[in-house]
Amino acid sequence: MNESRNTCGQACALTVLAPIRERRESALTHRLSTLEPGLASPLANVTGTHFARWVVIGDVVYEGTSQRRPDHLKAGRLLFTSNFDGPLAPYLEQLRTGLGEVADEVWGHCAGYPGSADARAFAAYMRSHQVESSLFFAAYGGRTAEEVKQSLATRRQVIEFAVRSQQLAPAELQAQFRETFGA
Amino acid sequence: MANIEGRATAITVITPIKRGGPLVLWLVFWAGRNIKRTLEKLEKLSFIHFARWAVIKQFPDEQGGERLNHPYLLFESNFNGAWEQYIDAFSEVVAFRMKAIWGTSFGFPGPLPVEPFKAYIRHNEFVANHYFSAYPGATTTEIVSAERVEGALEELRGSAGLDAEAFRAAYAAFLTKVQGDL
Amino acid sequence: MIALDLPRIQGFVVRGYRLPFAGYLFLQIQDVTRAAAWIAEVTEEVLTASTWEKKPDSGVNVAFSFTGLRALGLPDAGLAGFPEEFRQGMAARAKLLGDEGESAPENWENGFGATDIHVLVMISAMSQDALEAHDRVLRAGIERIGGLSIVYDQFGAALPGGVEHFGYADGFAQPSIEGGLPELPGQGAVADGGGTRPIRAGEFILGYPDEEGVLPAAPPPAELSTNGSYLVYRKLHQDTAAFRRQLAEAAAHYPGGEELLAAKIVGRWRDGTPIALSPEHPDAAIVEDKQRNNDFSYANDPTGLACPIGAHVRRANPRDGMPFAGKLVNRHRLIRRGIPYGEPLAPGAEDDGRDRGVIFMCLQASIERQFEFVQSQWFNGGNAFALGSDQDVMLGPQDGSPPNKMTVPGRPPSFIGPLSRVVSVKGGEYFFVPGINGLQYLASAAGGGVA
Repeated sequence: MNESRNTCGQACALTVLAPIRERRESALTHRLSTLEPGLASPLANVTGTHFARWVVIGDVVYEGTSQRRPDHLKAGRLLFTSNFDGPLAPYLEQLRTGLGEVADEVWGHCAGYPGSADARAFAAYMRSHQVESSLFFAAYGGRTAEEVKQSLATRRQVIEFAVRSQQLAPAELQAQFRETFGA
Repeated sequence: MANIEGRATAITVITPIKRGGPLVLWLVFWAGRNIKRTLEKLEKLSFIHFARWAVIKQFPDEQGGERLNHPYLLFESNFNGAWEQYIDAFSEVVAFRMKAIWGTSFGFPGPLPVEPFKAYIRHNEFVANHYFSAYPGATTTEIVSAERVEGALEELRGSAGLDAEAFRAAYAAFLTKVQGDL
Repeated sequence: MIALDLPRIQGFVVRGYRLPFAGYLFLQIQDVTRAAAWIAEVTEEVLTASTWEKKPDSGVNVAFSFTGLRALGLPDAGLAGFPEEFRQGMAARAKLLGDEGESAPENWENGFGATDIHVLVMISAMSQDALEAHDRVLRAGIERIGGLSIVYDQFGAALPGGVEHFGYADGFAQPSIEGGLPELPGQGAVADGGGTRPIRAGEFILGYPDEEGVLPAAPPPAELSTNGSYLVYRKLHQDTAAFRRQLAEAAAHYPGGEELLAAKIVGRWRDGTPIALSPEHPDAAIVEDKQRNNDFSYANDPTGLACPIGAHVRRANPRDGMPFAGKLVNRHRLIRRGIPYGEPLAPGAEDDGRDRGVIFMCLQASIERQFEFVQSQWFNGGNAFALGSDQDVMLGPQDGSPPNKMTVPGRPPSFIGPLSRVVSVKGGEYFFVPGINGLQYLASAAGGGVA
């Protein structure tokens, strides 16, 4: 695995394809559908995650006659992708501890999954099911998720200040700036 | 709709690659990684947070990997706006690159005209079962702008101790500098 | 060079009539056979795009919603050929369009959103008398034939001075369509290498090549769809007192004064002078010259110092202000046809609680790629222009938290805000405007006459 391929700035891409155990696909799909959405998602507890997703892939798609040999997966796959703050090793540990029992509730439906109790086994499973990116693009690869959130909040604060302080005399402007931005 | 989180949209596409495809892709992706101009257009399109392509030669499993008749191309992306508009912009602006990448997949009708391309993506798309964004309310340009505003604000903080008139001038200069980012 | 089949395209698709009075009758189909007979009859008098020798005193055009086409008994295969957004209808698209809060379909006026509206009959007239006369004739005809009932009506009229309720002269910019009226400078698509060129007809009219050089997606058969277009109808209430107050409050600390600020919000001075051409004052000579009043570019104004990037007309049509030589702009153009409604609010008056605003209408070959895109990406958001969450001052719902603002670029910049809503949607629907061939097809296909 050439981790540099999965990197853009300090941002990294993780792609994991795990085989789904026989007849467990609908239980898995159901569990995924009941995960809390939005910022209450269990993935919100995985520090360093910008965007992540789970996708159940029942089978590959057939393109029709130009593809003379159709394909079928022997087992469905659970795709997990994450765009996160690297490097990979600490992130895999954050994934394990951040998800906690949800990791087992999801990957427990996958063949060979060792559970989240053993950090080394968990990381080894993810790595052995990892696919390398050929091209990874990040629009702001130099920024961690926390930095992004912080600067978004700062920008909002600046906008609010800029709009409401337009009429102020210099002394008042300065005083309010100091108060708002702790300068 | 599981592909949408606030203002972020997920797209996941997996397509079978034709014979000879992986070599072409190797070249195309090498160019993408090493030639700056290639990724600049993606940046200018300004609604992609993150995107990746990966070639799946074999699907990992407990028996050493499942090799199908064909390798597969995975495209995974996070962006702002409905994906129909996303695909339109791609078609319109980076048609050559789309052809270079997806031309190696079976059934690809070409990037233009856009309707058959959209139908192809829809045919090969997998809807996310669970999608997470750490900052669902934010758009890509806001994030890039926020970094600039933060930097300029730090500089302005340094002037907070000046006399009121000097600060007023520094503040005006600050606003003038970051107005395109607010 | 394309030749449009003018006698078979409904007139208002190709040109604005500039008839100052309008009536809209919204019908429901009760009996398919009789409705078909009515369609056959009205088709005879529908105003087409054929060149007029003399402007008529009044004229009629007809359009159908998806539920209307279904009520007419079009076969399922034909119905399935209509695009998704048209089949859903405007009310179902509320989230995408930002029609929430006051603009939500639950709050729309009787008829829209809740009841199925099948047919729109549009009367355009030279005078109030001519409008009323034609309205009477139509109603009598509907009653005589039967099978249709009128569920809703709406009337509009140009205001004195050709302004809309917020006080701006309107209706200057219209896309130049290939094969349509002669191209006026600045009206067309952004051309490679600068300037503009006519937009391919298929961006607005089905059955003609579009900007990709292919025929736009159209429901089968060609007999139904060729020469047709899609119409977006939206009744927009304008809170004139609120807009004036918002402008005055912002102008209090704007060095350039209220009229300049008003111009910055829209991108045109109140009299219609494009601010890109005359950044410091209105210029009647430009306004009155059709060769000039829309011939402007943003290429030399990337930061919006002359015309703010968030100005209304710049959002509606970014021209060469977006990168990639028009590729991100040329397929999102709209043909606008609209008219104010309601009595003007006297200057300086408090809100009188009366209904006034604009009947907004636009025409396009793809509601989703054109109207819905412009509404959701260019008016109700700012990401496409690196304007963050800023919305158009006039059309934006301004419901967000924290409240929105508009940046007026300058050295230093000014800000208008916090912004609050000044326009709300009272109702609307998506319609299909068949060509004459399409109307004839509907008249005979209705009720299974032609499968």
